[in-house]
Amino acid sequence: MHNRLRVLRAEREWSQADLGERLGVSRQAINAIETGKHIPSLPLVFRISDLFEQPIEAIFRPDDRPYPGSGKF
Amino acid sequence: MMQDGHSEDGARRMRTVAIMAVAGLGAGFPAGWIIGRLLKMHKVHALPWSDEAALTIAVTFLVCGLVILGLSLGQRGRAILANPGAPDFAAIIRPAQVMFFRLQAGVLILAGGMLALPVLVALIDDGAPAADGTPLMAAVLAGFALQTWLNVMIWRRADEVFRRVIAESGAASFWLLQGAFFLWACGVKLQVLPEISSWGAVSILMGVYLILSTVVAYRRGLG
Repeated sequence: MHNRLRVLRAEREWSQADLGERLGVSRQAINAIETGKHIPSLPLVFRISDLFEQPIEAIFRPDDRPYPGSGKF
Repeated sequence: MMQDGHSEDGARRMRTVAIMAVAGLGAGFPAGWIIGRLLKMHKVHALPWSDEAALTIAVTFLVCGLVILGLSLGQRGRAILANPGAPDFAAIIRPAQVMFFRLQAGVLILAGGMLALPVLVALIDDGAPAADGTPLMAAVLAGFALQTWLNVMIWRRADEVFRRVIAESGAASFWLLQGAFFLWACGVKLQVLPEISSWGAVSILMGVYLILSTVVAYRRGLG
């Protein structure tokens, strides 16, 4: 599972701890998701989607196909 | 760019593991040296392998618990606990997170104490069974009840990654040990393997759980 969490976080200049605080999870959890070591649960995926105001498929992809609208990973 | 981030994480984690290894050597070497000296001076009788293993695991738990507890008392220490690889000393660590660290410390200290107590009592009594083990057994039961409550608190406060690590460590330990103990029991029944004591089984279980939980946590990015 690929995701753009690190990019979206960097665009807002948030640290992993900042993002974890906003989502109600630990910094380690954010790190684990960003590095692909943990696939987040559906409730957490929806919280991430709401926080970044983007559809889920624009943040998460099951493979390395380009994200809709971005043209690249 | 993404690759760079992964490399940084890997280097950071390797640095953390190296620091922890050096700290472990720093604590383990003097402890081993002192025990060795006491053995040579015949102050302590030689221990069976299960007691040595239990004491080693107990000291590991106690040292880890005390280090976490000590770090949780100060701002700099809390920053290290929150992000061991790259601590942000200016970051505000929430009280809930500090409590989470202390709950973990409490569980480790209690686990170490309960594991060491029966071995130390036998050591003090020079290997003889305690005259009346009831008060000590009551203490172990009270410690176990408190530790169970702390574990429930940790589970309730943990996020999904921590819960997954806890669940996977338990599942992996059960899968491995049920097979190992079954095969060993078969060997004993068929008189091709020696009997192991209940204390020996507990020492093996704790050692395997300690190793597996460390591996699972590392693989899940909590290292």
